[in-house]
Amino acid sequence: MKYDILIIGGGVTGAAIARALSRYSLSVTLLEAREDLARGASGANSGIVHAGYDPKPGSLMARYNVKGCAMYPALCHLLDVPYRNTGSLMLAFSKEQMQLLEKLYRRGRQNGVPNLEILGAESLRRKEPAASGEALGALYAPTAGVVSPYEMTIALAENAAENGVTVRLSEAVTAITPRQDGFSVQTTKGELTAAVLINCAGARAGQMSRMAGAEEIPMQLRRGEYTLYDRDLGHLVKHVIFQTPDANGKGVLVTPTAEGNLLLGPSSEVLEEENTASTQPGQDFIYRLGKKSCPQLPAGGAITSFAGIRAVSGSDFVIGPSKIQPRLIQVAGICLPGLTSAPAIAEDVCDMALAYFPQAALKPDWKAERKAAPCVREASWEEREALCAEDPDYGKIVCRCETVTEGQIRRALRSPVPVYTIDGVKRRCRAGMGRCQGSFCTPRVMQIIAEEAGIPLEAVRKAGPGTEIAQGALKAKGGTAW
Amino acid sequence: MVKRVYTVVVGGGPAGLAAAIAFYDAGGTDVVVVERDQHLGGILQQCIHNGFGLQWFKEELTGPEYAQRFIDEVEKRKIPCETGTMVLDMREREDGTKSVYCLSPRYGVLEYQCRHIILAMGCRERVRGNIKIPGTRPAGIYSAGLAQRLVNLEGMMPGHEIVILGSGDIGLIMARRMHWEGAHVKMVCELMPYSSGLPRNITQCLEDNHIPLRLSTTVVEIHGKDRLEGVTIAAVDENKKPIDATREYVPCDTLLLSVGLIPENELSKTLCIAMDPVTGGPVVSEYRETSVSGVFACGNVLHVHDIVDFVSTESTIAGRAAARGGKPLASVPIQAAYPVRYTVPQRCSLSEPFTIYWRSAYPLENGTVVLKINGQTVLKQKFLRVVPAQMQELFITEKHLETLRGYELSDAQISLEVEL
Repeated sequence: MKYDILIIGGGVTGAAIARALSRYSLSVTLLEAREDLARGASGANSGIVHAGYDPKPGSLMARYNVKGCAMYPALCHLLDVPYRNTGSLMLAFSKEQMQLLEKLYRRGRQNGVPNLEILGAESLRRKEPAASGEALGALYAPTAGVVSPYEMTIALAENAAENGVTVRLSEAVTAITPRQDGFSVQTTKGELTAAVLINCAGARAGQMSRMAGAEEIPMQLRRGEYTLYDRDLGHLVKHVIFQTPDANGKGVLVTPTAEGNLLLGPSSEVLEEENTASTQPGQDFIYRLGKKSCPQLPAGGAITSFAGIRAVSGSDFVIGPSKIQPRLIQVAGICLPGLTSAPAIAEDVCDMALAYFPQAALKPDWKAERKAAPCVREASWEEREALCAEDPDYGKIVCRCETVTEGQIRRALRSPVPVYTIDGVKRRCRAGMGRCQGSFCTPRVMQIIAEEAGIPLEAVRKAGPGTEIAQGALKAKGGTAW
Repeated sequence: MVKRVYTVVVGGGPAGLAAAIAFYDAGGTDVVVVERDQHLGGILQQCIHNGFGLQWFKEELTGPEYAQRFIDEVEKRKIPCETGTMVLDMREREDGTKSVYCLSPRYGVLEYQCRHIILAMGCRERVRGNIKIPGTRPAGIYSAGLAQRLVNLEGMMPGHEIVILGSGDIGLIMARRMHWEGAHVKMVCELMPYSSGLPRNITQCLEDNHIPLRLSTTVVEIHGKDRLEGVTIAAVDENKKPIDATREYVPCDTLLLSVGLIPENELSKTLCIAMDPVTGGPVVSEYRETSVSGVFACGNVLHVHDIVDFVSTESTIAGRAAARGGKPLASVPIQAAYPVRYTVPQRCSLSEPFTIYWRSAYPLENGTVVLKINGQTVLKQKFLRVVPAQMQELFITEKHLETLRGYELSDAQISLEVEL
């Protein structure tokens, strides 16, 4: 197959670029090696929309962060993605840290972050009663917020797909050959060619660049561990609560999530290779530090823990056409604040790609909006009534913890980018995301997946190949006794 | 749709069914059972092993058989049951009437306006995240109940090389079940120095099948990228901290977790019912009435039971009391003095004879359980051995009540203590 543009990587940046390009009359394909979108850093991070006072003035990070943050509220509204403009507080526990807040305040002003404010101990307590009494003050950033990072990625990709982008999952790039007018790309499923390649491969961006005969991108992998708490505790804090970075590290954050849980993390640890295991020291570390910001943080109430990998390349994002292979656009080292920056990065990368397609025109029928499956948990009784009248499946609750109905699950499985896995359903409509972690609903979700995908029950997977929930039927089944 | 009924029973498992039957038999009319599953019977549907009903029916039944007897009784009385219907919210009005809001494919949104509610939602299992086992997140980790459902109802094998963490009854039953299905159950690990399962299950499920029970041992790490490849286990010290020198890698493709049950009270909290932090269930009187007048609780939503027969007994009390209606009586708290871990009921009105159910915090031998009022002993009962897994009973007769009634209720302090 011959495409104008091939995007490698189905994380939030790849998906945002796909959506930006979907406005134009171009053939665009997004390739993702894993079985679902957002399986790398985009699926396991803090879910924070940062205000933008942290990056160095003049850096790509500073520019995209501040611009991206401003884009989020409207974009999430268009894409029907859970987003909450909570504001953030960076706590200072010493005079030195208070001075650092002043510095970050000035830096934020320089970066163009609006409405920053330094709060004294008393105003901090009024704003966030759960913050530690030991804190001397805080840097308040009212534009910060929280978003579901995987839902954002999925929504961007679904919207791109609705507008004509081909999204191909479970297809990894194995070789790239530069040609006169683009690249020939070998994948695990075949060969395709593209005039322009966009490298959004996250932790594997360096590898892609090398394959394409472009420059080396030095990569460092960092693991961040998190603990997710029951939605009972989602109201413990009202803001994203950071700690002032110092010689001991960046500290950990305590935050409500966009969907009402409480999240604690991340640790930060340099790794030799990709490894998303959580560790006892990592979990202990984030709890200890989280407790410092928020002394009420209970010992119990956790429902899961996880770790994400961030691919870091030097001190800034690597964005732009390769110097050796100009038809390869690098979007690498998109670590923190990558989630916030993604929509802004996408606009610029889209322009860079368009330079190769002077004939590209805006599509007249481009759809900016995307609707998620209705959320029965958040719906009013009147809305629930209407949903059930339309389709009785919206009256069948499958996931009791998160109030997810069969209607929502079927709708997710019939979306423009369907993923027939337990985790895919979980990321799209939260079945199994709650306090029982799928102990009750897994068998029913398996049945619905099997029906929708037309596969046997035993073939239903948690995630990628080799993750089947059942290991075959019982030996006696199919025999006469049963 | 709005319907008016006298009593709504939330949950059609063993507790809800027994409560509805008792309510009806005590002269109550106009009761409905609301069940979220397509079928009545609750968790008993997947408990195909035997050992149920020895107390209640004086015979040995399987879980589905035990449930069916109650379902038959419900049908005989023509008690309406709404299956496939889930209660999402409850409200109490100023006049004491209540609304129970449900969602069902048949009616869409359904509101029951009622006088009484009997909570019988059961419990859920603790999961990996609750006990924070570090490591990767592969397929192959199941709560014991989920594995039981896969095997017994869906006819599927969860895996073949199995480690079980937690020696609660479901863990023990599943050890035997997987063994019978041809899986290799390598071991059952238990954090505590004693099992939290019933002694009969240790014998019948583990010993009879030569499955090792490793006490004071826990899983400290999970390995494997896609499918579980193994776990690291370690012995724990007296503070339940893993001892590094004892770490041992055990290859396996399946880890079953049977690490405790949690009464499912998210719905109870919508009515602001007072909760007991020890049981995880509502605080109730001897009639199983909660702090909200007209709201009763029974079964595993109230506290986790070891055998279903006790659930039936308890639910009968709640059903009868709901039928009797009327105003709740003034009551006094019963303090559970360590090592008595908890009592149910937690309050009593001393109006008629009743039973105090209690559990110990750890195994006790050759002691006496003592009921005191304002420091004065009312009742003493000797025991040889008491284990946390087995719920204990203490009968308060008319004779004891006479003594208790000699005190002014408003400043009486009742406590249940253990003397060793």
